[in-house]
Amino acid sequence: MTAPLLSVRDLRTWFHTFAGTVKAVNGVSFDLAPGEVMGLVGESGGGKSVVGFSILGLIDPPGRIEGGQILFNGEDLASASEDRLRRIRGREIGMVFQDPMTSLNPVQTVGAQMDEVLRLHTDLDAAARKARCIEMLESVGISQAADRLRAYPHQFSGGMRQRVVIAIAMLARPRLLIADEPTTALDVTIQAQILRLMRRRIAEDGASMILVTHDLAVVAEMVDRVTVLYCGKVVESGPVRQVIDTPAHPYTRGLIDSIPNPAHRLPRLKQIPGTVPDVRALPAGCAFRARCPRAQAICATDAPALRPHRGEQSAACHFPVAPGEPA
Amino acid sequence: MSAILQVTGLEQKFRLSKGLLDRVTFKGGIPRLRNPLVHAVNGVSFSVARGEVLALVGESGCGKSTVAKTIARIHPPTGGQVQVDGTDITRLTPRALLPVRAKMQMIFQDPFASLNPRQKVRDIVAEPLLQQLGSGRAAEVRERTLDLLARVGLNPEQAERYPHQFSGGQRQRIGIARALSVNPGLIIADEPVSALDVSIQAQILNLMLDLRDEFGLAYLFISHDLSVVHHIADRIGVMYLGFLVETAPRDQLFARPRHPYTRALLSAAPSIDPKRSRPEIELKGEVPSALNLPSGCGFRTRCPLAWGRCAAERPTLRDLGGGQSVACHLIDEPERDRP
Repeated sequence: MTAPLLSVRDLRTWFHTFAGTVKAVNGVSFDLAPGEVMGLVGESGGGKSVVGFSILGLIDPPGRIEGGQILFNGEDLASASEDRLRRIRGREIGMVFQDPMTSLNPVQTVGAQMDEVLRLHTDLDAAARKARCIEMLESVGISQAADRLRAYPHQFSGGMRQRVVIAIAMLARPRLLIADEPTTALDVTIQAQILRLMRRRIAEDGASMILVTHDLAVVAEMVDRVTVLYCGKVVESGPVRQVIDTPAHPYTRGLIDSIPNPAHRLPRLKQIPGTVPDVRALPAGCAFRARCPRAQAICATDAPALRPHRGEQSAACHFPVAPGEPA
Repeated sequence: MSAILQVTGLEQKFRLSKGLLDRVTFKGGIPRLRNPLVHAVNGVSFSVARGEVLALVGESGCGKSTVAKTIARIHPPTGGQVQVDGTDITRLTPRALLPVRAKMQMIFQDPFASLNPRQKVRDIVAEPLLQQLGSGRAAEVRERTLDLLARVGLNPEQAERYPHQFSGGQRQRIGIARALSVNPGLIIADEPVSALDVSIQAQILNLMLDLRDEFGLAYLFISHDLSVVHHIADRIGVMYLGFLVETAPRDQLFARPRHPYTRALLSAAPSIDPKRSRPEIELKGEVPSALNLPSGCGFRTRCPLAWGRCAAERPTLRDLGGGQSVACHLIDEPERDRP
């Protein structure tokens, strides 16, 4: 196996609030191979966005990376200086966030915002930078790119703005793209266009991607491998088809079953009972046990570690679901 | 069986409230005043039978929420007619609307914005019923409130709490209890689960279907999520740019969608099911502005099958039998619908 591009080891990112310490990410580990697309999924409060922000070094007080390593090409980003991180962000690691209106500067033209990336991260002269910006805008499906460089973000629609954000993220040909809910704010026909575009851009540049999303259907269509988070911990990971077809963790199983599936309509949806526990006061043992149909005494005392389950699939559960077994 | 809701030719246009200077344009040196109108809903007709779930789907800006709010008389309609249980409510005064509100209630999208943060849950749920019965029957209202909260899965102690002490899913339960308090026949639900996580969404959808069976409710269910709509609806209406372009029973719409937009919408929705067929119609471009409707068919600017007639003539909704109606000229010229 080739060396991973990114290797996250036992990452812990905590937020120290007046109401208590929020262990948003609490011991997350995963590897990402060059050219691989990984989905990071979970519900609100799972910690999936905080993992993305931690990799980018964008955790502000009261948040802090308390421990663990983020090895990018062998370099630990968790202990890198702000100066070093600034060189890596935009150059080596690109970012796409959920809301394209707030991630673009409203008082700068799109051209100026694109030019800035190339000025900071490449040695190209002005003419070459402009040519690259035009080429990039065209590659994300924006016609009359030379004219559109002079436009401001508000002159674009939501879908077009997200195309611009993707163009900016890919400008310096980063080796890793972190996309946090890139299509959640968009309509379904526009979402389909943007997802196709991202997949094509990633493949053409041979880059890797971490797709952070709550939407398992998007994950099923976009990624090679998926990592499922619950209350700041990895509960399951593996090849995406294997995880969706034969989930091992009862939480993953519950998530998949609670999505209405037009192909197999049931009179009632299977639901996960209860709600996500308060992350400031997580119970001992497994955080999912209060909602879990398989929980037993050991789940209240021992937190299960992520263990190999079947092939490349791993699960953090004392009683993982076997393929074909009812949950 | 009479319809609990009958909507005929509903129109809703909003005037863009801009200042005088924004509205002035110069044409050949002569100043003109523009009066930009947003054509949010353009002649929509449908009915909902007692106990039926009709879902309206479409993308942002298609007018589905405006239809809901206009029927609930949050906005008075600029044209057309709305009948609730046989009563024309289109031009009723707010006072005359009060008895209608006992038949028709609404559940909103955002469970954080739709509950008064300074009222206790018990008072929030009791409010519609107190409006109907008057404050003289407070004890009766109080008892019913606790029953309703229990029915939606909240306990009596929680009735004394405030909305911020609840999670999103629990707040949506409170909103449902409030809507149920007056024992309505029709509930208008505007994206009731789109702000919720998927595991909580399943709980709320199950609750809504249980309540429908128990109380014989009809729902007008507004959503952008096709898988949610497939789960809850008996019949589905698809909207685009303020037009209703297709209506059909659920299974028919999913198995044999006729309008090119419906087909594009169905094929664009991502799915966890790998066996699902791949895109039949791929849409390019974006929805045109409702300020300036295209001539003819609203969808023609993005429709891969459009031809001359689509720009010249606006298609109307036509009955194809089996409960399916479509507004598309392809019905007359099926040979243009190449695979």
